[in-house]
Amino acid sequence: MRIESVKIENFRQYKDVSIEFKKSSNQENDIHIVLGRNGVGKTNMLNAITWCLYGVESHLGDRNTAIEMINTSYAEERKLQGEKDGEVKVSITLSSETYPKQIIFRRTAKYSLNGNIRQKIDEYKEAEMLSENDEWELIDKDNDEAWIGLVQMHIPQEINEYIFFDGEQLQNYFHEGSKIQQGIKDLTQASLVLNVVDKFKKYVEQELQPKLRSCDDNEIKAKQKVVDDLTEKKTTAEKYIADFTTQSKICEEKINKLSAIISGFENIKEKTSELNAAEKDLDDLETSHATTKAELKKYLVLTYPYFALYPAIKSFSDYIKGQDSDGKLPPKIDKSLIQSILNSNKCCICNRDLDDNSHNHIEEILKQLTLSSATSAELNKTSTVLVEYFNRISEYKQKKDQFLNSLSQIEEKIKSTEKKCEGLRAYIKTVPNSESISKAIDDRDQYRNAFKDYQQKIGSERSNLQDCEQKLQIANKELTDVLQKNKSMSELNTKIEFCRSCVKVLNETANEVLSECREDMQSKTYSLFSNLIWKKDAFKEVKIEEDYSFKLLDSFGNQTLGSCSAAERALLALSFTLALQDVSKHDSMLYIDTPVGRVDDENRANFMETLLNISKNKQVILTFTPTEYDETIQSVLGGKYNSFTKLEINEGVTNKK
Amino acid sequence: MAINSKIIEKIKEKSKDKYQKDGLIDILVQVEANKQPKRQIERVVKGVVNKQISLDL
Repeated sequence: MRIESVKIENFRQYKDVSIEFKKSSNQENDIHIVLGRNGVGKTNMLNAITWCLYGVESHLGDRNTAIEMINTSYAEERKLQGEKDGEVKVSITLSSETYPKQIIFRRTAKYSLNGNIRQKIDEYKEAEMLSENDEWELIDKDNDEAWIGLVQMHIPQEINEYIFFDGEQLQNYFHEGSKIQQGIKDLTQASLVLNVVDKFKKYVEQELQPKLRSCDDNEIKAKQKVVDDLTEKKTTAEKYIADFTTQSKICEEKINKLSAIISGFENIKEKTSELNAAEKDLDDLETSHATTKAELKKYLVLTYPYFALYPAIKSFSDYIKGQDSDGKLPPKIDKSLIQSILNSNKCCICNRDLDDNSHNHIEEILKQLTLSSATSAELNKTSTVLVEYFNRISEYKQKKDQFLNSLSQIEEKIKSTEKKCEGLRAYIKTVPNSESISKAIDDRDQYRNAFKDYQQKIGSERSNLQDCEQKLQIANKELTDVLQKNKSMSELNTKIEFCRSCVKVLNETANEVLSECREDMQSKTYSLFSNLIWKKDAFKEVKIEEDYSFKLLDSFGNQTLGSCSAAERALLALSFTLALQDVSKHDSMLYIDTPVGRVDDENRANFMETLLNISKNKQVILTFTPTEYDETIQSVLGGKYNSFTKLEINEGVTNKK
Repeated sequence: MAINSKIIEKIKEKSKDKYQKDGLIDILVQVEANKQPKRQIERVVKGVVNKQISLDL
């Protein structure tokens, strides 16, 4: 499929411009160049094309703030001429190797022009195609289905971004797997097969089964009810599985995105918590150091008087000891023991009763003892206190050493904790935006938990589904057996069985076609990409998941799509597009707006050579600014283009030069 | 537009008999051309069932 020409009237910068992209027979390369400064309307030419085909300006910067698409100068002229409305028209002529050989798509928007307000009041489209008899056949304006069919056949809307490239928007190319999936379904005609599956199911549900339900045979009715109930349960389980799978995929995508942010800083969260814990330890150690120091000070203050009084106390103690050793101190006799002997009047050794002499003698001892014990008691008491004083003094060194030891241990710990904190702070400093990475780790943990949860739910629903399917198989068999007994229902049953078998054949066909296509695209994209890329060893594999989400794996198996350079992404997008077109056998052209806009000088020649090579097999239309269309590009092209269109803008209107 | 040869091949491989294969391809062609697929399904189902019944007999 090629674009033969584009005619744009009164669309944004364009007032009346026709550009032809004919292929001359003496050129090997079907390549076309459109050159224009920024703002001349190169991207708006893409918008004109997508608006004509799909009714949407796919490459508009911001739809909300964009002005109406009618050309301002044209609108003003119409108003001056006293006209109350004006028209925007875009027509595209496509050619194809297969029937229809040529199609012209035309879309017109009518605007009312009241004062400064320009409002779209109508929009209509028409298509013409060259029939097999070489006659132009007009497609009815109201035949939307035919229009859509023709567009989808040549440039399916879902994958138009892979045909009409916007070099500046490549970062969005691999984000919407579902779009690609739908595009693949259309291109491989799997959607057509699945459409027929739906029609068969509808036919069974709406035409055949009601007849079964309305039959008079109660046994059939009962069996049919069991089948209906199980079918409903099966549908519910399938719906849950689909929902949970979608949610799982969303979680997985989020986990991958967050992992890309976290990549290389996996332990930042642990390190941050470690730092927090170490800083808390440091605070506790400082407090403990201050408390121990205060306790030591208090101990020293309390012990000081003992040392100050030591000479006096020592000499007093020595005096008492001297008196004691000289036998000048009374013996230490237990007064209470003597008193108890007197009270009991018995000897405490032999338990003999005391006679009067003994009693009087003991009474005499007690009297003498009472007189001398006042001094003795004082001296004894003093002696005990002095022992405490000496103990205090003798334990001073040990106690002081204990305090000093624990202070030095605390200081050691403070030192090592400070060192640890310093190390951790230095590491965290090297991590850019550590807070957002920590948040990403938290978020990823949450998504991982949610993912696990969904996986468990999927497992449980799958088991439900399996159970339902087994029961349904039995129920269907029972229903069939009952139906076969009833002759009038037998034909109906054969029809239902046939439809079910058709659904099975078609479903298997569509799934196999899609799965084979995905696998082919995976290997084809990688093979094209590895041929185009200059860093040959950087990437190991391209993976296209079942939902058509995209993975570019490095030699360690890590997803690297997010960290690819702009040129690498451009090449990957290009490889993917070529693989998509090749695998689906969809013959399409390529239109690339500012192809080298994000490719650095070094890689421009590589990129341009690739495009030139591609143009040997398909039409390639490229738009450049004069800066981009530099000597490198010109030298690679070497004048091998089929058409060269220079656009320039004058007083807000774009024209061909 | 012609039906993808891969699809035709797979339908051929998976169909029970020639009638199912022809019927399914016929329906795909009709659905692709937007030509009253429901009636086509009815016609094919009836035709194939009649043929199968007559074969069984």
